Amino acid sequence: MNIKIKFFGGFEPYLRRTLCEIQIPASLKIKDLRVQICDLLAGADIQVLDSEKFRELVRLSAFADETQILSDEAEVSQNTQLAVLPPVCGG
Amino acid sequence: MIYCDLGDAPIDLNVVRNYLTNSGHGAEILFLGNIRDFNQGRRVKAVAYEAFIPLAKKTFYEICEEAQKRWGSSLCAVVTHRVGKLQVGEASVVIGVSLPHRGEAYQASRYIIDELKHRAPIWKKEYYEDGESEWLQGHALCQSHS
Repeated sequence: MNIKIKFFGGFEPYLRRTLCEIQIPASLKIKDLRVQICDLLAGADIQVLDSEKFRELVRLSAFADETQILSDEAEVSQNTQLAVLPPVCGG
Repeated sequence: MIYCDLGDAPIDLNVVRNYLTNSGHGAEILFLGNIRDFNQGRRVKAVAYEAFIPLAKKTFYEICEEAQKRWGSSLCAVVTHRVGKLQVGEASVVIGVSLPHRGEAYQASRYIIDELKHRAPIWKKEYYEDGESEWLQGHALCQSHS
C-alpha cells in the first residue's frame, strides 16, 4: 500500500524533497518502518544523501500522525500521512 | 481560557493580552522568546522555524491544560509561536499567563515554556553571518533507540 511521509527539520539536508510517497507492505509496524525506511525510499527512487547520518536521525525520531506520536508497535494504516519528527527545539 | 496558535505573522501582544483578561487575576505574565544574535560561538543573522502545526497546536493545548490542573482552572494561558524565517530581535514565541497571584503565575509561565521546548514538534535552523546555516539539535520525542 502507498503512504505519504513527511520529514521535518534536520532531515532537510538528506533529502531532495521532504514529502515523499512510498509503497510499504501491509501490517508494517512503526519499528519495522524505522529500520526499512532507506530501502523503501530507494524503492520509490528517492535518493538519501549520507544514509548513515540519515539512519541515525531516523533512530532518534518519533513517527506521528496529526494527533499523536505513534508507538513502535503501531501498525501503519493505509492512506495515512506520517510525519517523521527529529529531536525538537522550539521556543 | 486557553488560546494557542502558530503562524508566520508577527505576534501582537495586545491580542495576547486580550485572552488574559480576568478581573480576579492580579498577576499577568508575558514571556517573550526573542532571536539572539549569538549562539554557541557563532554570529546569528536569522532563524527559520518549522513546525508540524496540527500536533504542535494540540501539544500547546495539552501543556496549558496541565498547567490549569496544577495552578487552578481559572488560569488563563496563551501560547503563540512563529514559523518561517525571523530576524534577530523578533519574538519567536510568546507565553501569556494570568492568575490571582504572581508566584503561581511565574511558575505556570515557566512550566509552559519549559514543556513546550521539550515536547512541541518545532525545529529551528540558524543562519550565520559567515553564510552557513544549521539545524539545531534538540530533545528526542521518542524513547526508541533500537
